[in-house]
Amino acid sequence: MSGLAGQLSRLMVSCYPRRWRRRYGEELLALLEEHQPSPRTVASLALGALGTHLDPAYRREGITMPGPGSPLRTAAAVAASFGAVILVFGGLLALEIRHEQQTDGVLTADYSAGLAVSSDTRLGVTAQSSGPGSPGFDLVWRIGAHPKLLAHFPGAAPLAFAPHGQSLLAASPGGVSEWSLANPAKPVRIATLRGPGTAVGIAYAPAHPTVAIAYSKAVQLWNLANPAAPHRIATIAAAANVSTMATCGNCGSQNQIAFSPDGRTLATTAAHHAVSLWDVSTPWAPRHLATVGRDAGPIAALAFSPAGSQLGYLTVYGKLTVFRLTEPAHPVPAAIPGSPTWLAQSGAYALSYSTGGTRLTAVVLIQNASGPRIICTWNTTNLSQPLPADCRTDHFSIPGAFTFTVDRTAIVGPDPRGYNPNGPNTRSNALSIWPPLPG
Amino acid sequence: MHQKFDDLGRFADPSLLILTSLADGPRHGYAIMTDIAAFSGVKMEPGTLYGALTRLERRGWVRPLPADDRRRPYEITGPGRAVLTEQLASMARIVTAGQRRIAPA
Repeated sequence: MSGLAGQLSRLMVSCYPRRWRRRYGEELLALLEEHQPSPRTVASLALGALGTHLDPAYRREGITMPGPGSPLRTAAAVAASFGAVILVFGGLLALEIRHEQQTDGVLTADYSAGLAVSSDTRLGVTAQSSGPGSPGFDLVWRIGAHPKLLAHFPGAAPLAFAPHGQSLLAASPGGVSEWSLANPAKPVRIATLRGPGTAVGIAYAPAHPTVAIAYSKAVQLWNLANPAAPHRIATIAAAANVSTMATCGNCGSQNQIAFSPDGRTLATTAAHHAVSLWDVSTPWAPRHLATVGRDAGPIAALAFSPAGSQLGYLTVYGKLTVFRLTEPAHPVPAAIPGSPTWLAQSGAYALSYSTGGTRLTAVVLIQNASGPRIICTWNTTNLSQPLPADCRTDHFSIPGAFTFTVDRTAIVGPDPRGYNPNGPNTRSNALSIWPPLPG
Repeated sequence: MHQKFDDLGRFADPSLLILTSLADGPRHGYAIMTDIAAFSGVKMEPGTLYGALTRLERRGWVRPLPADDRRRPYEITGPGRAVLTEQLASMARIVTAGQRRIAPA
């Protein structure tokens, strides 16, 4: 809810009798912050305020006031409240109409095609699929105890927050746009990074301002030191895994390109379901190091360990492969037994090492719309004798992309509360955070 | 129909939905609204919700719990559960009678 809508909400609540407000006012305001207002909301509050003034339990408060003017004051208070409600009704109705013009048409999308979370976990941005031929929108959400939708802007997946959390890169027609989220309620486009087609992956280097953007046939490296004037510093003629993109549209493609923690190595998905490693220690002269894992299956997500000594990647069939990167030019594969197999070519995927690098956790939501959510964790401490995965399957029939928080301690995804695929609420209204596995 | 529910006037139907929502555990206002939308398809508005909650609390059918931040959960009381049980039984009788009469002979 905007500042103006918040003020109008407070004004509407102020129309209730003072004693009622002292008891219920704050919780009603908290509810209104979460609720998507409509003219019906305003009408119900107007009727509620009027009805409460006429309620004997609250009318008594005015009638017991001494003096001959008390009944008049009560009547005046009721009339004034009703008048104020009418004024507020008009104001909020106008606000609602404007709000509908701005956002309502884009909030009917069922799927969250991509998700990025700021480093402080206070903001999340989701990409909505608006359907073939429709322009896409990215939605800015506040995460936390009182989650709510803050704003939207034209864009699509993939998405990536800058390490400082003040700006975001989002795919747009013909390239990638950089958006300032200094005021999350009013995103401002500050630059456009032109590219050869539709971006399929975006990753910030840990040492900002270098950014890697993957396209179907190339990876571009950009310098964003001056956000208003980004310049391309190199292009890697590497074919991304087009088949993966085609069959795994909601795989969370921000996971399909990644920098190592020291920023010196870049991992990209490549042709034939392979992963390529690039030395980007001199970003203007990237050098191919190795290509591994050919034909393992369409790659859904990849992740470096915090120390950069391992690279894990997950196929859409649930096969996990881990490479030791003692020498990045010569990755050594480690067989991971007990990897669960799920027959999915469409779903939402996320993969991350734990903070200490001892565990690797994958989140998979099969089929997006109504399949189960699977969370598996592998112990990667001893790759010579790896243990089977510890998996949990939830009935979690809600569509949407997932990702891990930057500190690797939690998963962020669509909030199931209030979601009902067969009812009036066919999309999630918020993002929620939960630990990878209990305990 | 239960006489006590009739006394709630235009808040009778919302009160039934709220008591049903709270029957399986405490919820705060927004959670009650989303739960009702999920199990009944009824989109209850905040003014209606708090109009009904005020009356339910006054009758002792729900009780407020300590606030969680600014959100205050409510739980159904023993008398509230008894009234809900009676009201649902009354509605079940109506449903049975209606279905029997509407069925093709």
